[in-house]
Amino acid sequence: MTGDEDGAAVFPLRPRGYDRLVVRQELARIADLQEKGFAPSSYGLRGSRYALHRLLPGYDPEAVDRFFAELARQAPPDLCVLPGLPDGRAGEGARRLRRLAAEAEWRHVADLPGVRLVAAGGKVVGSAGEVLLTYGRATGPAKWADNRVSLSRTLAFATGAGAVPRQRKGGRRGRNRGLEGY
Amino acid sequence: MGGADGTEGWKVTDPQTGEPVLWTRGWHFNGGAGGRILLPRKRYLIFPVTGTNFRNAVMTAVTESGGTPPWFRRSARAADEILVSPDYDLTAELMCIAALAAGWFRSYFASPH
Repeated sequence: MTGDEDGAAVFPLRPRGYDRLVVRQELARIADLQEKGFAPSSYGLRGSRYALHRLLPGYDPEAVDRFFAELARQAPPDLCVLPGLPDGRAGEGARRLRRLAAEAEWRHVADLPGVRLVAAGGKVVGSAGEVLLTYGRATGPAKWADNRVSLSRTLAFATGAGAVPRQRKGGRRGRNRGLEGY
Repeated sequence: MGGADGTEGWKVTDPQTGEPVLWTRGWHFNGGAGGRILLPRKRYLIFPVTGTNFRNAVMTAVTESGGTPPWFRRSARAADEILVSPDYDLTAELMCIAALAAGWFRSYFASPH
């Protein structure tokens, strides 16, 4: 599916149908994911509280549901299916127990080995106070240096020159991994 | 419940090659952890959050294979502390991920009311 194809999909209108903008956004989202090699955890708008438009005519839900089902069937089999949205607040158990467990986890993270950074004020700062990365809205054309990473649109990132601290080698899995190792 | 998928987001590119490094999609909001980072070659990170409020919350970056490169928590000094696992090199890409995802850690407990 390409963006043009999903944009060309035509659905009949009916009262209390699916909100047209929501349908178009969902189709665009699926096309965007597929273009990058991913598939959503589920197709369609059933159960979405934003889907039905109560005032203006919307897309016929049956036609839209059929279209999404067909999209799911036609999806390339080699796509990586993304998991559904996790919800950390929906855990079981009494609130007090959840709070105690959360506080224990919070303290546990403080004891874990690794490099500690702080993100604040458009900077990522190392534990010694050295600025490792800056980011913010670019006000003009970006001027890239060798050690810069660009962010399209209006944000720009820049790493501090030679300031990236080295992790200790020989982690639990025997070697350190960069992004390539994910 | 908040948080959402979406087509809006940032794209980080390598300025020398022009190749995409990562994309952000979705966002964390009102207890929903919808923010994700997509990486080339069908790799991704999700960012589940545990905790009942901002002071005891921990956000974990989880790769598609279950790895956890960084954790996020609000430190006692009210800054967003990011702990990078010793299993991972602290690359510019990983710092970009940390910087982008730190915003989701802040917005997770934001409420529309």
